[in-house]
Amino acid sequence: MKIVVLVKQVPAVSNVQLDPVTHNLVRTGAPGMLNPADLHAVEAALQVKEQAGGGTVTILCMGSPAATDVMRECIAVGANDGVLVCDGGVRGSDTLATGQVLAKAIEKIGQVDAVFTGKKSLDGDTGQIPPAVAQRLGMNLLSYVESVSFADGKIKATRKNNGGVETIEAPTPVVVSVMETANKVRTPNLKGKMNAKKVVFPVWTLADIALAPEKVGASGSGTKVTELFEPPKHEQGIIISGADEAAAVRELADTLRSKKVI
Amino acid sequence: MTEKNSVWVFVELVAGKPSQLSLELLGKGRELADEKKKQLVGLLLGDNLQEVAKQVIGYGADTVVCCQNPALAAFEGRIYTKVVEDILKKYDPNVLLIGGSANGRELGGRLSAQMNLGLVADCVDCMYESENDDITWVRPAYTGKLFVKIFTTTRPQLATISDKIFRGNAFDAGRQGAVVEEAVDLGGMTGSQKILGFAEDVAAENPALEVTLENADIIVSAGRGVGSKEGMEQVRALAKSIGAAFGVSKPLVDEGWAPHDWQVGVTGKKVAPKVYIALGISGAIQHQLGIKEAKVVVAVNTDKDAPIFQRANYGIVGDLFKAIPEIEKQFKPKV
Repeated sequence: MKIVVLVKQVPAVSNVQLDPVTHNLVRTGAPGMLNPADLHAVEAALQVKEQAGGGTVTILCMGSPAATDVMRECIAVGANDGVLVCDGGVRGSDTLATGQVLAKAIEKIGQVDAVFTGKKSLDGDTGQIPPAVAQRLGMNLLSYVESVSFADGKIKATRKNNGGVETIEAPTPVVVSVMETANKVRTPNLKGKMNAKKVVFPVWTLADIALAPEKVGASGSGTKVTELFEPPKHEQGIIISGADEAAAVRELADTLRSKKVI
Repeated sequence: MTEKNSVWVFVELVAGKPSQLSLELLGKGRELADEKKKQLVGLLLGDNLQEVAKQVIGYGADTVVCCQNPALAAFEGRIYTKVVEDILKKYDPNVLLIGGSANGRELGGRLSAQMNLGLVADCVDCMYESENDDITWVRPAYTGKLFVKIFTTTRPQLATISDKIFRGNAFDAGRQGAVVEEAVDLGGMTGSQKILGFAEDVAAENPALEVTLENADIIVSAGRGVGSKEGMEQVRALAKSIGAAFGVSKPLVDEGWAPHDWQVGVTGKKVAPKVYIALGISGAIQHQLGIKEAKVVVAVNTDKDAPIFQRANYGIVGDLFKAIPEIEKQFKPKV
């Protein structure tokens, strides 16, 4: 079973800073980390590989050279190898452009039975890459899965949908997007840590995956962010200040009772 | 009748009926269509659509385009995408609104890739802001601190929309509209995905059994201010003891302390209790949007400048753990 896992390096702070002039994320100084859901995608891929009786798990990442740090984390828990797609031309890509880059790279890897991804990235927060990649590769998609298993050439998964839990099955090749709740990630063992230290990732440019520069970056994107703005201010409420917290809560409860709220 | 360049809504069916989110989109779609004097078209894929097509008209559509085929009875991304692509190419809509459900997001992502269209995810607002037919899409960004305005540079304009943002129209059985049957060409594709089983949420099935974020009169929610998983558990115990539902803000889910099911906010659950008690929640916009429909918001936070105090009707600047015992005493139902 040949599996590719898509991973992304995201800013490590949940309170990102914005440049007041350019409205861009201030990335300098903000340490990068592996997108939280992606490690669960790696774990799900490793489990499926084991259930299939063997195979390979390859990490695929589009990012800067620094992104190899998060790829190494995936090798440490048991992924076999990885590829970094790194090209200045991808800067400013939206999900339309990014989906093309990743699909082309998966085609170049070749003969892939399954693609695993996290449910979405912490920073972009769209979840649009899994269906985009599935469509370009002509694969089924099992999205937002809470559990995954493999038997008889088919991936079986459960997911929340339409107010209930759905058990769903699709034959390979298939794209699977994984929730953080899907599994508990294994701890790296010594062999994994050694592999992570010495692994060398091939670096592919746009030319390597035969993608024209105008297909990616701002020119290959179908969306344009025009404005950032602050949320509208709500009418200021009342601050209740009592002698201490308990007194303030008593006053609050009295007010709510007098207004028949409680 | 001009379906071209009009406002379209993809109507997702759940158990043969339009989903609640689809009704919300028909409500917003009606507003957009009226503003630009355009048609509102509902797009239906499935089997046996005659009755449901009438419902879609009753909820605000001028025209319903129906694609009927037994192969469309259940959602399968590849096949739905092929059918919707054919329809979009034929009718050339100005905009297609898709609900941000699991299936809707899959359809949107696939259409974007298949037709090289820009796609905006999880919008919380959209409007025509200029003379031309460009839609301005609004979505939260940067973990909900701010909103962004986004344009799609391709046509049709495509976006998925968050639920519980827009209101649907009241059903009007007397509304007149046209139902158009479209021939379905599956392009030789056959279904390969199978739904093996479906278990409805226990709480959804027996609402009386359990207090949930969806049905509770009072919700107590914990935020980063709890400091630790143990701190969060104290707030959870408080919720239980006063018969309230328990929620959390996004950072607690990111920390792994709470499952995503408990998250209140745009990317979690949107709630509408009588009283919402926010303990140690700073109040990022993504959280505030999730409690938009709450009648009364009460916040306890040590930081007097926390954004939650902008939204709260009543605020207490102080230590949430010192407030807990008195909240328990005051809010416990009298027997």
